[in-house]
Amino acid sequence: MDEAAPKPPGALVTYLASVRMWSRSAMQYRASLVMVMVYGTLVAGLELAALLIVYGNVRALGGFSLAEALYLYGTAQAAFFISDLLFTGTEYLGARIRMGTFDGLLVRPVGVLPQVFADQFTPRRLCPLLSAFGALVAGLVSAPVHWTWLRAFLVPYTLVTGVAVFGAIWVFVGAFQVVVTDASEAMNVVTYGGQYMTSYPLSLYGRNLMLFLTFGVPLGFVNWQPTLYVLGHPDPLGLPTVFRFAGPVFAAALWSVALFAWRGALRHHRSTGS
Amino acid sequence: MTLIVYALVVRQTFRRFLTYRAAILGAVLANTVFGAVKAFIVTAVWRQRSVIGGYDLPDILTYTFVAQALIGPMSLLTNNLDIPARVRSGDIGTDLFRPVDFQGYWLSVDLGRAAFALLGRSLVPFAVGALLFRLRVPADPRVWAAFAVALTLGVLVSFSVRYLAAMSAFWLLDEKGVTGFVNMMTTFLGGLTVPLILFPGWLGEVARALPWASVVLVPVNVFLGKLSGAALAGAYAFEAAWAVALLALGRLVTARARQRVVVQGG
Repeated sequence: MDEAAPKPPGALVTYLASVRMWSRSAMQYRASLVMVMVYGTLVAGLELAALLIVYGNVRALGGFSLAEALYLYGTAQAAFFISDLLFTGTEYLGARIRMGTFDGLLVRPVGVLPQVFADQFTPRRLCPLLSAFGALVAGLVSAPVHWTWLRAFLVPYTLVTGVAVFGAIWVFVGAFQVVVTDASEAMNVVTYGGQYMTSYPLSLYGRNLMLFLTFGVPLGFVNWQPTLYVLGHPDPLGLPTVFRFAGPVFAAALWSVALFAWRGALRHHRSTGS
Repeated sequence: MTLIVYALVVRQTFRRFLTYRAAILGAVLANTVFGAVKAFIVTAVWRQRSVIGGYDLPDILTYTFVAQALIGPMSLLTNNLDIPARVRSGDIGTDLFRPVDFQGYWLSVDLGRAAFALLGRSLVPFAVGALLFRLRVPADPRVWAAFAVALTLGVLVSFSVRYLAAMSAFWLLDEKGVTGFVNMMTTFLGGLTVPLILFPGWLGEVARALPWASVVLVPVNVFLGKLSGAALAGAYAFEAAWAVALLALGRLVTARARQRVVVQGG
């Protein structure tokens, strides 16, 4: 046997192949997909309507005008839903383990994590991006920003760090589900809860919670810190300016802890043999 | 005699839900944390305007945590009826064959679920809210009794709306579009996303006249002691009228569905 074993495909190839497979599966029931896409768009639109209704009663919240709040809301929602698009498959792990179908992913000669990220992918996850980017653009156009090259650069930068922070959280969700298979809703506090908290100015939550959201669960680096710089607001915590740009450092640290937890969880996993 | 059957169904469903303790723990945690975040947002709003729509800050904080506590009992986020899954699997044949009324059977199932959710999912979010924020908790037992009546009528309205959505499974291969749309209406018009009293002008008036006002707003108004005498009777009549109308519509739909269904073999 002089034939070398075929090289296993890389993570990205595995991920894209899985996404393609799940998308084709979702397209099988076209009418149903169209309906859930319409209502997925509407649900996200109503969340934005909620922000507008709140601002119908006040001129500013936590020192943010409506235009500024729209920008903040847009960055949080866009970052969250891009991370949802890329990584949210980890949410289905608990159910997979209970059903015994997780083993099907483990035995394939490709990486486990890319398959898990793409699990149950559906084009429906694109829908909330409409209102997210709608709010983001509306905020950018109407907020009184003193534009510089650095500020302009910080807009896409915010989205990338935001996606990275939420992505690490999705990895934690996966690790948690492997260990505690039936309490998946507990992680909603950091995922959907994080999405909700970062959509409003963190200054609403008081000093202690803000400190926790900066150094405990670093959701403050999703969009809050860079947005303070873009909009020219002082940091209510009085942290040095370097923190406005520290997102990648915190995101990288969070990813290393998350991947460590994920590997630990995989070692912990005992198949039922089904 | 049939009443005993319904009571047994209520009890069995209650016990069935007892087995999902871990999932309930997660839901309780999520409902509590979301309640706290919402409480911070309404606090910031009410700091600037002391009274909105007759609600002061303790009123709206109470509203916020009662609404979070009612997510489970009123099923504000999900449909929670097994009818569609049973239509697809064919088990619905068994349900139609039972010597009890089909709609009454599912109402009993839902009452058992709601009763369990009230004990298992409502107490902790509200208690934590009361510890962290200044809430208005009624001291008068008559207010609690009036609240219990408003809650019961609210559960009837909630069930009758979700029942109509779930029954669409008899006509559609995939009912998720319909149930999802109805869930969305419940979450928004029930006043969970934003309190109904913040809705502007005509939108607020329309929302307060729709059945969903019965699931959170009316019970909260009773809880806050804002309604008594004729106003309380009027609120009950509002909830009861929607419950009767929607349950009657449900009966009509059930009769139609019964004619449609073809059960294969056995």
